[in-house]
Amino acid sequence: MKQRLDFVVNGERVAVYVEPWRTLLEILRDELKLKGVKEGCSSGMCGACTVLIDGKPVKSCLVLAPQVEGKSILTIEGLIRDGQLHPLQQAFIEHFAVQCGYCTPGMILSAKALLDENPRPTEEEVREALRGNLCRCTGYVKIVEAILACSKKDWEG
Amino acid sequence: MMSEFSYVGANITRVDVLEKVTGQAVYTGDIELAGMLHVKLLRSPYPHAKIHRIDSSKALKVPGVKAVLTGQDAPSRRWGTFLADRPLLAQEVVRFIGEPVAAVSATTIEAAEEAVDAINVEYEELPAIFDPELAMSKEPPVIVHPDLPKYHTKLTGFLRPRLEPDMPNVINHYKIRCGDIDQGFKEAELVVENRYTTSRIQHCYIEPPTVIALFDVNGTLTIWSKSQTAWRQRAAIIDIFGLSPSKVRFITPYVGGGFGGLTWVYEALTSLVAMQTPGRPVKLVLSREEAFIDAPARIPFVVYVRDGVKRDGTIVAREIKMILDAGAYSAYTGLIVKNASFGTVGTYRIPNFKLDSYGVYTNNPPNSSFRGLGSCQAEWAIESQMDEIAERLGMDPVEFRKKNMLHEGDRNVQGEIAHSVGAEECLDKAASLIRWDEKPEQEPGPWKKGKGIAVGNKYTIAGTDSCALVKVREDGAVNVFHTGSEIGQGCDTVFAQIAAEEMGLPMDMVKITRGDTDITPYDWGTASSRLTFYIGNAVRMACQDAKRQIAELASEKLGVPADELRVHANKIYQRGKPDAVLNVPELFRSGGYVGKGAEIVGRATFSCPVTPEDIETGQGERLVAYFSYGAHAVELAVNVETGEVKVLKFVGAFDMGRPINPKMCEQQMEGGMSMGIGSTLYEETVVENGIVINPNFVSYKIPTITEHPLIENVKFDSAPAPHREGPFGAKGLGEGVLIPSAPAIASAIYNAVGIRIRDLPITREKIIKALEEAIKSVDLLGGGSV
Amino acid sequence: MRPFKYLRPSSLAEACQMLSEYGESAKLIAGGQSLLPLLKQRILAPEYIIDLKHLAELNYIVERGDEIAIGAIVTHRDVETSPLIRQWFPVLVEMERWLGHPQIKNWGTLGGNLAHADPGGDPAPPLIALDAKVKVISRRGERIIPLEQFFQDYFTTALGPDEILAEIQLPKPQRLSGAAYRKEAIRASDMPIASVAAMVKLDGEKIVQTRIVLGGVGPTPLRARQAEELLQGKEIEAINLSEVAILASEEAAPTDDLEGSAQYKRRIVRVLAREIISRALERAQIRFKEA
Repeated sequence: MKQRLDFVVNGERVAVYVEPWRTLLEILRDELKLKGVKEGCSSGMCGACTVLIDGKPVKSCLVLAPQVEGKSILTIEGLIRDGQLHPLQQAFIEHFAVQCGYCTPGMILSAKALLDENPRPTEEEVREALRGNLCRCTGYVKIVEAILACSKKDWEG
Repeated sequence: MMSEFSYVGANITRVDVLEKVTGQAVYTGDIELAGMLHVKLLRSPYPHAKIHRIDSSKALKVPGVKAVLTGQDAPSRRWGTFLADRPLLAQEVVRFIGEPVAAVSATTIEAAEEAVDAINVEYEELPAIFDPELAMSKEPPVIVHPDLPKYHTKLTGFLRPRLEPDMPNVINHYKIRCGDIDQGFKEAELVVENRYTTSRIQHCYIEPPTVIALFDVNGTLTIWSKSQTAWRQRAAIIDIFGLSPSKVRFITPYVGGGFGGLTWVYEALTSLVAMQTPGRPVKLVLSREEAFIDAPARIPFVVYVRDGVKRDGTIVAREIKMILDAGAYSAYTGLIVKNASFGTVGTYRIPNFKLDSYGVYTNNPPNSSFRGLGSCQAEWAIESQMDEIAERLGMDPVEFRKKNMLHEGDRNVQGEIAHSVGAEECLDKAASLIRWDEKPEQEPGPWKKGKGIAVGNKYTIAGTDSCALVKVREDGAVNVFHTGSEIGQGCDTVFAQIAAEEMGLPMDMVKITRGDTDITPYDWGTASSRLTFYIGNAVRMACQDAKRQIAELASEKLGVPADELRVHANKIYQRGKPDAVLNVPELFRSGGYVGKGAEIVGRATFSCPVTPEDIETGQGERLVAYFSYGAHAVELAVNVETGEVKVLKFVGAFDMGRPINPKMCEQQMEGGMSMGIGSTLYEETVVENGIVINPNFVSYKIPTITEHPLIENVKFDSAPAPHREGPFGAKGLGEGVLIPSAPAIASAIYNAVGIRIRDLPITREKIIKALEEAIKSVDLLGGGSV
Repeated sequence: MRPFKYLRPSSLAEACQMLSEYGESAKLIAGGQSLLPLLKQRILAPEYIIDLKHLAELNYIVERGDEIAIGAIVTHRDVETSPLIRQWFPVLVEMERWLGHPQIKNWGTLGGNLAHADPGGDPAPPLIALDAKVKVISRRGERIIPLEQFFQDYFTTALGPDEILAEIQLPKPQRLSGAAYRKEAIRASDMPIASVAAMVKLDGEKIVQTRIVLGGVGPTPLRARQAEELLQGKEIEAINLSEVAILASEEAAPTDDLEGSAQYKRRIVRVLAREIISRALERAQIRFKEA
């Protein structure tokens, strides 16, 4: 039995009709066609499905659809503003922080949430905040470098 | 820094990165096609059993179900990379827990799951075998593949199946014989002998295995998959189903991590399901649990190494026996039995050498290719042994290695002459980066620090081919076509750099089209760290061919002999004239075509020669394309109360011939460090009586961002030794970056707390157990208590 | 997941009503961070899911005289950042720091965690060390249960089929007490090999009260009562911490599993107990010096 859910995605109001046993991940990918959010393990361990709900990173594969009602979601697609890349996206490019790219959207969103709350994190704080995002390609070195590079600039979120 | 090149050797921004940071990159799972059905699999609960009856009647009645298939619906032709031993769905017998027995396609995932749950299978359990050393005996209690001698094999030039008639579970047996091993041991003044093992580890690419297949009304089969071997998988499917090659198309979008793991039965299986519903595409996504069980893992090795050395540190004899647990189906094991041996060959100069390598069937879940293709496991044993011998001789481990290393022009134990050997420089650089001569500063408390070092080699396979096409557009830009897989290693960028360099064009005038067998030409596979060398060369050659065609067209237009013309940077130059005589776009007619031959398409096939080796001795002249080299050095701390290991500093240097893109090389080296830490310290698929106990990211642990040293303590360098056949001297890098990690870490642990663990992973408990036993033996020797 | 009927009560009373009506066929969901994986694997397939996550009635952290009360659906992150918790229970902030991943903490709830009753769960040991109680409600009324008695077995609590865990109650710590918690895990935020929480209350140099709680080494969190007795009434100088720690490790009831063998877990309890009791004592002494 599908039910209507009203919420906001990337600044736009949306309404979808889904069964209650769907997850936010499925809504974003299958209903709203936002393919930037990825499914990696479906059990909340890898973080590839990370999106921001009301500014906080959450694993969308572990959010039951009806709980999304009234929330404001940010996905990787919502980071570009006026055709300009977000500073984190720019930093990930410049610092070679991307290899296969599958963890990248979730990683960037977790990093954004960190910098929004703590614009000048130490390296330890960066690692602590990103520990829910697995990457198998990079060893995280350039991911940390990209985030720290952003933290040294003026952060407007 | 002065560079002779404009693009090669520069840190060019990756050509795929914009798509990836914006979420626009398309992976297989992102593709939606009209009418797509979902596929779910029913898997065997027994490690070895006869299938008596399968009742799918209830499953067929579930609303939304379109097809239910079992082994009876699968072709008799089996699947396999080199040995066709695996039916698409189990036929008559299941051989491992998790083997697919039935497949369902349905309009929703829930319907497919419900149908799978409704299928009833009657099994008769058979005895099963899990220990490869037991399985390889002459009269094993269980024979996993009684029909092994009848299986169809791919007799490619460099691989011969050596089915051992008197060892019924042995798939093949590879031998190397050099010198006189008995004489060698007679001359030895010290003999060291050990047994080493590695665990079954998983690639853990973050993108799960995903395949889409569509069998359309014209009888054309199209497959989208995260594959590393599109052309060869296509060939296997053509073979299995007896299809016309012109009717099979294989597409590989961006791949969310490969690590050598993407050769499996799933494209063929999904194709079978698709054929049941012509016109309706079907999609199979393995759950993470399924991927841990049946997306084949790294082969666990048992390696016996016996070394004879002189007191002055010269190795005079080395005898190795390697036993590879293939699991229930062989996939890549047959090749790895041979190719893992290269890991024992590539680094050292040894006059008397004997190696026997066996691939063995068991009823464990299948194991197959993994980054390193067996060299990690083989060199885990060799390099750990080198560390121990050095210590027992009272020699520095770096000096001991250098004393025995191959140099340019030396003959290795298989008779090949070494060329492009950067091993020693890599070792020296790693030693320097970790400050090898300084002992680590110890602090009071339970943490004991230590430093360790190891070197490694990684061969790249010879005797394979890669093709490239380079099309010139009407503005002079080029479009490169290739079928490498972009698994994160950055192959598209490397080829773009090579094309830009060769054509003299800026990067934004080079476009890459990849991964569609209808459009992009043949490639053997994204494996063996071969793409830069093979496809890189093919791209370079294809660019040269394109330039030749341009020169010929210009020659006609100008009335000048073609050999007086040179093409560079979108212009054509004539000998003796300083300025360009023509622009490339001027060769095109309005509308974007050329008058003669329609298009300018440079074409090339790059082949690396190979000589067949002697079956009895493994001797041959050209057995590998090349060896790449590298070294890791590690400083770590061991907690003597808990056994925890903290990696404090991780450094290394690698010889990749020439870094085409130095930052991308760093990416590989840093990634290798990460996989090295995890695979050495805690990664293990725990298999008990054929059951995978930990098929998830909770209990199978890969390092998160918190399990690495701080960035200031990570440093990688290159020590390139150009290869005469590589594009701009380049070799490969993607696998070598993992190989020295395990022995370097083990060496550091020994340095810290004086214990040697020879079985990976080196877990906390193994360390504690070894420390407790060391204390006990000190007590027994009257050394007092701690 | 198997399909289910989704119920969204508009009040706690309505939730109790629904639960009493559907009882065994219903499952409560808060953040779902523990429940959803079970639903996805089809280990659980309830007919009804009753959602509590939106109920403001369960989302609060308040000071009530001598106690702090935490509503059951407060997220881990809100516990971690709450000024009241930071002021009164720094050990809970310490515990929340490495619980799971940031994403889990932003959506998962403290009450949900306790109701799930994973024997390795981070919150239970320090909460028990702090003498926490839970308020459990149903249509039939409410009852207060000491948290220590709330856990009965693996993933089993004292909750009846019609009961909802509504609130966690913490007595404000005594002035001269200190508490500490740490888990030892293979990776920083994994489930523990073992965890230890300790609270000690001082009178001058003498320990007048202590609670030592072990996590992940039994079907429920365990009080190490014999170890506590060794500390009770002793002067700090006279304590043999190693002896206390060894006793605590013997009171653990671990089993072999993927995080470690039983023997290894005992070792970890011993190492942790020494560290945590020592830290709790230090913190108590600092409070004493400040007083």
